[in-house]
Parts: sequence; structure tokens; C-alpha cells
Amino acid sequence: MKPRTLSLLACCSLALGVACVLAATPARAQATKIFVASFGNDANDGSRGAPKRNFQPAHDAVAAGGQIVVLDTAGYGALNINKSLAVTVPPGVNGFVTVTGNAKGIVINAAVSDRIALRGLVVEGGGSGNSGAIGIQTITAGSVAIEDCTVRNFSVGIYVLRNASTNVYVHNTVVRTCSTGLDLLTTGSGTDANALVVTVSDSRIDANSGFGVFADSGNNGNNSVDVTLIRCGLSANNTAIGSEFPTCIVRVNDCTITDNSTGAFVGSNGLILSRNDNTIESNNGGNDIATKYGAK
Amino acid sequence: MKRHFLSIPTLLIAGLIWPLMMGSAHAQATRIFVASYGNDANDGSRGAPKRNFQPAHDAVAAGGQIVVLDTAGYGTLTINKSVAVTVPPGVNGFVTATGSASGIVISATANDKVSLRGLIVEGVSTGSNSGIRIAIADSVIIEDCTVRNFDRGVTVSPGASHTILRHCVVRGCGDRGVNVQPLAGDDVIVTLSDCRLEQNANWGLLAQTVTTGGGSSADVTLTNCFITGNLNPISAFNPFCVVRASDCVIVENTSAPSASGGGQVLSRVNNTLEFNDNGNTFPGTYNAK
Repeated sequence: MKPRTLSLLACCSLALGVACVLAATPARAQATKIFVASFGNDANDGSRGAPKRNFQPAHDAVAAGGQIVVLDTAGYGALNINKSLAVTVPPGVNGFVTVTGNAKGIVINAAVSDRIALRGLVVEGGGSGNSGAIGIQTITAGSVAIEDCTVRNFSVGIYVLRNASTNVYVHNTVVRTCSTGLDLLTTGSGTDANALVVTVSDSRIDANSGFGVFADSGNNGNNSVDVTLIRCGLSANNTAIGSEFPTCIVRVNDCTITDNSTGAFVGSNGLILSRNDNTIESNNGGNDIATKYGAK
Repeated sequence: MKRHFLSIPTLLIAGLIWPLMMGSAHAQATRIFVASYGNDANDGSRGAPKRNFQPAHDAVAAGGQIVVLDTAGYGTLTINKSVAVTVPPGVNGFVTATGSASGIVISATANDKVSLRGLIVEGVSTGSNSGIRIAIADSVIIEDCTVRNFDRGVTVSPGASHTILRHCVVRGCGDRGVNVQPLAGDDVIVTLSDCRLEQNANWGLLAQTVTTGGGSSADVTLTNCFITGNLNPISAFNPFCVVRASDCVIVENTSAPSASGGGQVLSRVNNTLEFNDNGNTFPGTYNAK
């Protein structure tokens, strides 16, 4: 009897084990929503009742186009994103990405068709003097939406260097105490026709020791960078806004640009245009945007 | 017996390693948590938060962050280095001062960057106490805070080079809501956006410079602010003292915005200035660009 009982038990547990593996594997591969929490564990499956602990394992477990949801306030580690994905921190919770030295906070290197959204994160780095330290870097993506985030203490807060076309939306976000707040660039040569389109609304860009917003189309007339700033405050930066090269346009609408060493800086025939409804005062230089565009 | 033989070395090792871990956490933590259920003897990690702001400040690395986990009072705070205090939306971190105490005093170095987010700072209007007093810093960024019932709400004196208030409420103060008062040799620039200055007994915002000892300068810009129920909504006194208002609503104060002694209060001519008892005109204007 005893051997039989044992073998029955063994069979049962084997069957259970197989069932578990069969059940767990598809769930991990297909989950469209993965939860993370301070009390989570990366060995968990990321369900609401068994959250993971860190962003990267959550990213690796979630289906493309899915979502990572933060359940409570804690640090969740750096994150490399390689697919369509939304990271959502509900209002009432802060999800921290804290890195040190010259490490990067979030790097997005996905496909040109991928859509990424980041909401409610606090991304903080090892200090503006650490060359290469980037808060949120976009290498390749179709679109990136950054909402309700705070990015601070990096060499570059939000960095987009594109050799293909990308749309970036920044809303209700604070970028501060970096060397460059937003660095928005296109590269590529010949007839690449890369277009980077960035909209920054209701955001504050403050106390960056270099540029608050810097846009550069890379001295190639086939590429373009098109930035619109609306209802933003830019203060205490070395230079609030910079634009380089003729196919680089920054439009400024209903913004307050004060207390910078230079308000608006144009290099190599870049363009900065004002809708003539901004407060641009108390900057030591560049205390006006001479070129206007009309309301329609 | 077997268990004992196993557990004694384990305990010994744990006893040796634990203090080492705790010690390094104290010296290096870039993030310290506080909670209503915390204890100041804890190391301030997510699982073992501290209870009060001052011990958290003293434990966090320069440039680091104090994070509030749940709604509670966390005591008054003196800041002497770069630090960020972050209260997530949905949580209120209270600093409640008693007697003549100020709430938060920032007395760091001229290179330090301080930010405060999501605090409610409340006190008793006594002497010249302040809810938040900025003595020395490079930049101070105050977001989503409420400051109330001090003699002065937010005082910039001598001041940070750059002070930014966003989405803050300063109300019910015995004298001044926002007090910009650089001393001799100080040049301060203050930016307020989306703020409310309400029910302060004498001034919503007072900026005044000195002319002695080489003088001082103050430069204040208000964007999309609501200033109501004060005796004086905005005043600027003495030379090199400029206050600008854009897209603000300034109603139901006793007086109109005022400037004297060479100070300036300038409107971008896009403000609502109505229902103030003793006048509804700005001393000057400036242009949109």
C-alpha cells in the first residue's frame, strides 16, 4: 500500500506541477496588466493579488500594448522599454525611479510603431554633473506621452535623439535641476526627412544649469524639430529656450519665462516664435521673442 | 539541541551584519520614508519608515528625498542641505508649529537646491514667525503646499537666488502671505504660478528692498494667481523692487495694488482687478511678448 500511495502522491504532484507550469506560462506571456507594489515580489505573476516588486520584471512580463500599474508609493528601479506600454501611477501614489551616478532612469528603445505612456512617475538621478545621466531617454518609438511626472537631477532630464520620426507629448510635468531640461534633437543625413514633433503643456522647467528646452535639427534641412510650449513656466535656468538651425521651430504660447540668464536663444538661424501672449521678463539676455505668429 | 547549534552561529552572523547594514543605510540613503506608523529609530527604508521630518532630514544624503507614506503630522523642519520633501497626491503631510515657532526654515548654502511638495504648514501668528522661511539656498521650489495662520506665510529673506511657488495656497496669516524681503546685498527672484493668496491681514504679497548697505533687489512674477480678502493684495516698496501680474484675479481686497518709494507693480493688462474697496487700478503696465 505504501509504495502505491507514494506513487499516487507523486503522480498527483507531478500533474499539479505540470498544470501549474501550463497555467503560469501563458498567464505570464499574455497578461495585459501587471501590478507592482512595495510589498510585491518579482517571482510573483504580477496579478492584483500577487504584484511584482520592480518595473523591469513587470515590463518583461506584460504583453505588448499592456500596462504596468503601481499600487503604492515606493521606488521601483530603472526601466528599459522595448515595446508599446503604459506605466500608470494612479493619483495618490508616487512611483519612484531613482538611479545614481551616470545611470539612466528610463530608456525607450522600441519600434517606430510603438506607443509608450508614462504617468505619475518621479524620476531622479545622481546629479546634473554626471555626464550621460538621463532621466527619460527616447531612442526609438512612434510616440511617447509623459504626464504628471517629475524628472530631476540628471545631466539631461528628457532626451530625444531621433533618426526616425517621433511624436512626444509632455503634460503637467516638472523637469528641474538638470544640466539640460529637455534636449530634443534629430540626427541623420541626406534625405532622411526625420521629423520630431514635441508638445509641452502645463509644465514647469526650472533651475536647469544649461538649457531649459533645447531643440536642434542637426544642420540637415531634410530633418525637422517642431516644438510647441503652451502654458508653461520656465524659470531659473541658464537659458530657458534654445533653437538651432532653420528647420527647428519652437512656438511659445501663454508661457511665463522669467529669471533666466537668457530667455530665448537662437543659434544658426533656428526659429523661436511667440504668439505674443507670453510674459518674458527679468531675464538678463534674450528678454524677448521678436518673431511672432498669429492666433487663428 | 541541533536547532541551537544551528541558530547560534546564524544569530551571531546576523548580529554582526545587521548593524553594518543599518549603519551604511543611515549614511547613504538617498531616500528616506516617513509614516504615521514609523519610528525615528528605524532606518527610514520603505518597510521601516521614520516618524518625523527632522530625523529623516538628518539621515538622508544631500540631494536625496524624504517621502511621506500616509497622512499625519511630521513636525517642524530645519533644512541645511539639498533635499526634496515629497508628499504624493492623495496624502497630506502636516507641519504644525506651536507657540512662536516657524514651520520650515531653509538655511542651507548658496549652492543647495530644495523642493517641497504637498505639505500643509500651519501655525500660530506670533512675532514675525513664518510658515516657510527661506534664509539661504540656490533654488527653492514649493509645489502643492498650503501655508496658513503664521504671522508671515512664505518669507524670502535673505532668500534664495531663485524661489518658485506653484499651485500653493497661503492664507489666514496675521501680517503677510508672501513676504519678499531681501537684505543688503541680496538679489532675489520669485515666481508664483497658479497660487492663491487669501485672507491675510495686511498683505497678500509684500516685496520690499533696502537701500542701505549697497541695497538689494526683488523681482516677483505672478501668473494665473488668485488674490482675495487681504487688506493689500500686492505692494512693492523701494527701488529695484518689481512685481508683475499676468492673468491674475485680484478681487475683494481693501486696497488696490500699490507701489511706493520707487517700487513697481506692473500689469500685463490681462488681469481681473475688481471689487477692491479703495481702487481697481495697477500702478503700471508691461507688455506681452
